[in-house]
Amino acid sequence: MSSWRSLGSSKYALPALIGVVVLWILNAAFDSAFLSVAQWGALAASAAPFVLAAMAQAPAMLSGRGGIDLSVGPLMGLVNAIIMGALVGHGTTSPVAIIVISIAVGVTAGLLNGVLVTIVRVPPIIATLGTYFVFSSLSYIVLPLSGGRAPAWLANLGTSWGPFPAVLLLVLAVMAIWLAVSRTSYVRNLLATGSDDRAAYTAGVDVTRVRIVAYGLGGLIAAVGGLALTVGLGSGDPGAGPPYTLYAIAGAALGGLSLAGGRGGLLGAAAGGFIFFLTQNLLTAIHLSVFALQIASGVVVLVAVGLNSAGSYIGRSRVGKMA
Amino acid sequence: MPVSRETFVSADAGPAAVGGPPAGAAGDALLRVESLSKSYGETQALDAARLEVARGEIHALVGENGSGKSSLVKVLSGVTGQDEGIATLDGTAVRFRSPADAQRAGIMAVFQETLVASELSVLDNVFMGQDRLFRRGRSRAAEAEASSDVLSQLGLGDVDVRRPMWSLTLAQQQLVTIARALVQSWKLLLLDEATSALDVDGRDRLLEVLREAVGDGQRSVLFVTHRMDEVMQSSHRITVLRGGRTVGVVRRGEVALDQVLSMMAGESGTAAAVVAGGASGGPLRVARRSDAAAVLRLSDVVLQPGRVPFDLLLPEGGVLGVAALEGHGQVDLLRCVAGISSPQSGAVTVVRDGREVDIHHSRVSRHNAKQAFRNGIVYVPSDRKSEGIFPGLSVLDNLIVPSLPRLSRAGVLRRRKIADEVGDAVRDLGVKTASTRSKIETLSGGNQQKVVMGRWLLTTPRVLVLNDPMRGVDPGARRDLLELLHEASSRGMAILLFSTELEELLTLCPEIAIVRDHSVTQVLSGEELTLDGLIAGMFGQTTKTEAVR
Ligand SMILES: Nc1ncnc2c1ncn2[C@@H]1O[C@H](COP(=O)(O)OP(=O)(O)OP(=O)(O)O)[C@@H](O)[C@H]1O
Ligand SMILES: [Mg+2]
Repeated sequence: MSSWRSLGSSKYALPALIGVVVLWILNAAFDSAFLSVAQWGALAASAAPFVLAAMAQAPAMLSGRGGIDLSVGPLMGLVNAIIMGALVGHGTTSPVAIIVISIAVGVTAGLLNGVLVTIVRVPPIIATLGTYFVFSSLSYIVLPLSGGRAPAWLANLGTSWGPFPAVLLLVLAVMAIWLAVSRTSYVRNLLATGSDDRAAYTAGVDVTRVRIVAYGLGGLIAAVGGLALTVGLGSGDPGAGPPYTLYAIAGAALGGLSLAGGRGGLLGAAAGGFIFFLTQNLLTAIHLSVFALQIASGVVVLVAVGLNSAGSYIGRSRVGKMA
Repeated sequence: MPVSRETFVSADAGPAAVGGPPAGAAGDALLRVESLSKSYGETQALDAARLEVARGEIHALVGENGSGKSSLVKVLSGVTGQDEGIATLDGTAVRFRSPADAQRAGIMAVFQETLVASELSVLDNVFMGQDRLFRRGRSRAAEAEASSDVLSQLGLGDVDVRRPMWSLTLAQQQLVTIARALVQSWKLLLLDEATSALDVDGRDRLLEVLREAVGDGQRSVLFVTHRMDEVMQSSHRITVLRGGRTVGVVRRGEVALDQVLSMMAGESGTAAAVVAGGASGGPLRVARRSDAAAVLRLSDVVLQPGRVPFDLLLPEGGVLGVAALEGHGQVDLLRCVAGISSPQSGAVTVVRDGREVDIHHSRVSRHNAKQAFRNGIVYVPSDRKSEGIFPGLSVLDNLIVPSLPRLSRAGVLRRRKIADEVGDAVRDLGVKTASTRSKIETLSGGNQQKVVMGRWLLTTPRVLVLNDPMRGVDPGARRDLLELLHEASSRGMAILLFSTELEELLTLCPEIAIVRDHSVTQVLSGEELTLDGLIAGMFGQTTKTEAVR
């Protein structure tokens, strides 16, 4: 029970999980790839960056006080650019080197966001907008042109081993990290801070460190997202990252995370990111034009988030009556 | 700032006499604070204040609204720093950089605003802040174990600790913040108006817990309150603050309540008048005029399935009190009248131009609340932090928001009229603020409360529904506000007043409805209006179960 709870008590994620199931069935009806196990690997490789981007968004959002991380997408892109431009481009293909350096870049970038938000006291939306531009430009400096071929071990993650899409390993790794963190007291500190930072602070929670760590964790997950992006692309693309910022925010909101902080968890964010991918895929499968597709995804997000906040409002007022 | 004369009522006056042993303790000071000063911009919140708390002592800290009590608590608990002065704990000078820092030194604090993480569970709220960043203070099982005693002592034994915090009543939330402090190991407990939302029962339980806690003669409690009966019952000594200065330290039993009140008020101020008229002044209640037309009528109302239906009637200019223990449905009753929640069955009608208007005409509660408001029913909730103030806005804006239609012409604000009305309101209510342009959060708790009440009075409602409206207002100002309400009622405004402060009800209300088990069990009036009568009724120990209907 405690490990289930530690994904951030799970009830909030239920609508998103149901949404995943429904959309999965709809997709299967229109897209033959969903029915052929052999293609799951490739499908998962294009879905994973959506899922991981939304998960990378979660810790910042949970930390409250307008917590948001706009730099998630560019950071994923920067990791992709560094892997292909700085490492593979210069002959470094070893998994250990690539993984360690990617994670180090992600954590450093995340901690930088955290320090800007807490110690320099720049509002999160501005601070991470700043790093959004920085990381985007850095990607082009590291890798001016798209291209290159991902090393074989990375490319292989885009296939499936039997029915198991290899890229899921990356998502599971992040889940495992979050579970491990949840076994500590950190998640309670994070949710307390996000729910009411004054209450948390006066109760003795070190809210500054809690927030710095939240952004650092987000950076770490974004780095894994960058690996997934590389798997999906099979090469390097300095412009691939930035769009994921908006997908990440939409996914987190779809996953039942409160934009005010303190409610939600990584499970919901993952489900939300996946929903966003499934919607896009479904709309493409039914041959909607690219422009209509954007409009439709926008509407999906608005409706889902509207239902989400109405749901929590109704739930509350019912109990409020009793109290 | 006038120079205050310090009053020491102890037999051998002078600072040396301050530190006396409380009930059989060793007599050395646990905490000593000297010439502590703290200013917020122009406002000198603390001006060379002094304080000494002995080991094993329950020490009361009293003073009018804005006298610096919370500021002192905040300095001692590491929430803010001081400008000058020193505090020594156990003989060593201390200066805390954060609340966590103060906690490590053994000082736990419960603050005036009920600070909870409303999305988290009760248990998480009790143990919030006890962990390191990653390392748990104790296991979950140990937490449940350690908290169950404290929670049941405080009367929360029946509350499922996995419930989310927002589903608790304000009083229960307040108890959770107290439990948060009590489960830790502490030397000094600071309680800043921690009893303000509790009913008589909850307060008695808490005072019992505190007495037991200091019983070992080692630990001490400093508690801030405006409830003078608590002060006179439970404290060993009392420190009085006025304008940020310590104007007196007295031993309980050596002085009368009047003297404490006059120390709080100083030579000036309205509170001095209160003193002249006794502790709480005389009653203001006037019997209902028999010819007055009804304005609010509740008939056959059932608040919860299976409870006894009841009727209530409020005439124009009438004042009806509501007395109840926590959780007996009194808040439901008020919310039904305001259209915020609906009764199980029965009708709540407001009379307008001779016509009866059903408040619960719609199934959508939002519409009902609008209906109630349009017909002149205004509800003042009790939780000022989450439902009362608009943080970030000025005192002026906080006062006028709901009156804007009346205070504007064709959408344009009538600045002169606003300035006049706000000026009058601030004066009448006795709001202590640097300026009406100051942000509401810079006011002391009691002064914020006055603003919330003033806001709704400015809307000139026909029926004012008040849910414990004077939480944290000092005794002098409380009297002023009661007089203000009394005046408004004699101009025709009807008032439905619930209060945890029974004195308040007895002062203002010619009739008091006792709510028990989600129903009105009695309506007391005339000779029946005594403290004992109310308490007996609230606990259901009445011999005369007179049917209301
Ligand atoms: N953050 C702040 N900014 C500006 N002024 C402040 C601030 N906090 C308190 N003050 C001022 O300091 C003075 C003392 O306030 P404090 O809250 O200590 O009073 P208090 O004795 O606790 O009153 P109450 O009984 O109403 O709670 C008041 O005049 C108040 O307006
Ligand atoms: Mg105060």
